[in-house]
Amino acid sequence: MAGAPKPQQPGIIGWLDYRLPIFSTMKESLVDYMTPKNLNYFWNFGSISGICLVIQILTGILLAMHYTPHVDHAFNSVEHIMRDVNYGWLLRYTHAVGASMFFIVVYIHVFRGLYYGSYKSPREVLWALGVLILLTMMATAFMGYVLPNGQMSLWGAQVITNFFGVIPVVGDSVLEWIRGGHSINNATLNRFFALHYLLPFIIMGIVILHLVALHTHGSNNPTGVDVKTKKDTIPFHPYYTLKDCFGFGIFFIVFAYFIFYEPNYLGHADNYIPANPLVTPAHIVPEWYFLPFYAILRAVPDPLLGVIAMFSSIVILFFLPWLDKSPVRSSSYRPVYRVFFWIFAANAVLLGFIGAAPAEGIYVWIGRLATLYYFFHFLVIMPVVGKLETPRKLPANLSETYKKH
Amino acid sequence: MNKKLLSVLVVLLGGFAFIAAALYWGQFGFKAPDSVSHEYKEANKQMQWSFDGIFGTVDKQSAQRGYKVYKEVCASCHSMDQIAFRNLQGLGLTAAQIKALAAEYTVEEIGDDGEMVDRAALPSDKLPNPYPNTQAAIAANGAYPPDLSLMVKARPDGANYLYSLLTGYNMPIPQYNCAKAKDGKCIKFAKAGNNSANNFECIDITHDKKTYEETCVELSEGTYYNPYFPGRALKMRAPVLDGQVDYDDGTEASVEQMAKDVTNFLQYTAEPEMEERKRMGLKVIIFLTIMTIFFYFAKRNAWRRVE
Repeated sequence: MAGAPKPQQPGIIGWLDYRLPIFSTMKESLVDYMTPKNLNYFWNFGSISGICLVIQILTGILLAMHYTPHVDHAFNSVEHIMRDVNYGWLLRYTHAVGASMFFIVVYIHVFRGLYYGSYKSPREVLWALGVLILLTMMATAFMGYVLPNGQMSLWGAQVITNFFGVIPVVGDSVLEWIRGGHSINNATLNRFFALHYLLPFIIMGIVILHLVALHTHGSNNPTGVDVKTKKDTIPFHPYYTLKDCFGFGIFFIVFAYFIFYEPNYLGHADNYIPANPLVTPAHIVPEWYFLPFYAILRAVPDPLLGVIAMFSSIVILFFLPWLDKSPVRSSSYRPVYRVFFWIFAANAVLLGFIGAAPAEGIYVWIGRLATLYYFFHFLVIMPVVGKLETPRKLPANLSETYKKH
Repeated sequence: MNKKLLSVLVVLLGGFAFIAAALYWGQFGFKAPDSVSHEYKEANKQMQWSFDGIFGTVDKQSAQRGYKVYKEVCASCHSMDQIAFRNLQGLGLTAAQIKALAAEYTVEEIGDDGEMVDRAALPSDKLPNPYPNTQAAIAANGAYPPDLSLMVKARPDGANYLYSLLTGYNMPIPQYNCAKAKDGKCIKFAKAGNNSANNFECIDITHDKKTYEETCVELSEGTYYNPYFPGRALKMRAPVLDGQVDYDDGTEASVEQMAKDVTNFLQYTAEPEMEERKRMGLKVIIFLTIMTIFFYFAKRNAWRRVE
């Protein structure tokens, strides 16, 4: 037991807290928790990601009360939700749009980490947990998209489950084991539903570890210079609680616009066609948040190497703390690297467009170049620029850069 | 150090790009490559729909006429599985009208003795399917007539696509002239010229990227030309002709009018919640805007204290 608990405080809260310290833990981590005072709005995206997870779980559980995970009934059960269930359309659209919002917000959160060197020591494990969350989110999103059993659901599942078929020697057996049969069938849909319900709670567990890791050394900040004195910090409440509420407001306005006015904009019309194993869609495209990885997959002509390249493009993120050889954290003080960061960001967006384009002609070549550049950035530019660059002079402390407002 | 480093890297990247460009260009023997994807279909006609935009609503009069078009023309081949008779109340029909409408149809169900019996359809029943199963539908039509409930959402730019398709049947099939022949085969086509002997009727010209040969895709038996359908030919003949439906409110039933009305009806069947959704959206966004402004000022007020 870690030290005697503080003496019991008065009242019901004091009684409960003495026996299970939830209230004092919450006060310690959300109220009194000292945070660098110079965080900019890119630091809002972590809490927004958390809210997205909660919204997905709440809407998802309510949807699961009305959904039938059987190939003969899934499509119709979703239409039943849209038409007959009170506010079912709102649940469905919030959940579908919410998945896209979750990825937009998480990608911005990751790019914040890349720009400000938040993955560097002592936050390597915090970063690794984040990459693990991203991977789990991708698995969850993929399985969720299969559930309505539309044309894209089925054919997207075909493409992605086929990844496991390219494993040498055991590939076909693994593929049959995953699908629960010789082709995508009811067993596949049913197990995807079970796992899609399970994984978000695993994500929640990893998020808790992610937050514990964060609180161990505290947040990074835009200067990349560590907190040195108490003067560099402010309590989380009321400053960052209010700032986060404002951030939520902006986020919800954007979210609401899509739900109520363009709910199908980020989706694909083909998924309103019931799944038909005998008809292949003209263009099989995953949801937008998978497009860059889809582009990397298709850039490599060999099926096995393509799958390896695609998984490597995410796994390489685990190694960033060791690939980046710069002694300086924040790109604000790295004028050369900063240029390459933005080139990388533009390249990632380009990869997204290539993922949506047909794999023909000039798109193939741009895709290959962009894929090579993606790995070139991590394997060559990060270590070389990190080592050879002359960074700008860092401020003595982060308070120096803070402007009162 | 910075300038030197930057220039080394720029040279490396530039060289990389140059070599890649050379390799790409080289595979075509340094000639300009052919277009990547040929014209697959004509772009949809862009119409103004009453349901467009954040304040959009479905034109109920038009949608009711559209239901008549569906019932008398489309329903002989296309099912509407997601719609029950009671769902038609959103078109402005009363409960009594719907009960009468439903009663025109008979539905089979299992009787108390275990035998199949007919009964009049109730408002809670779904609209009847013209065929007992998919195979019968394909056998009767050459291809499966898709269910129309979700058609506006199941096609990109669905409403404009449906209108264009239904009004796109009267287009003449393009004529192409054989511009270059080799070994008795035509390998390059050009738009129709004066030499009528060499004119081919083509619904599509496909390019072979490796040999640069072109193939004229001709219309096959049982297919009809429509430039708005992907691939420009489909197994459904023009479903509506002028005056085919007698509208109850006296509106003239031209092909354009019927296409417009049935599209409005199909928009309703695909998204019956649309009007409620847009109304709720306005209230939600107004609320959120006020809330966000409040939190902005609260945040600013608190942060004034930070040195």
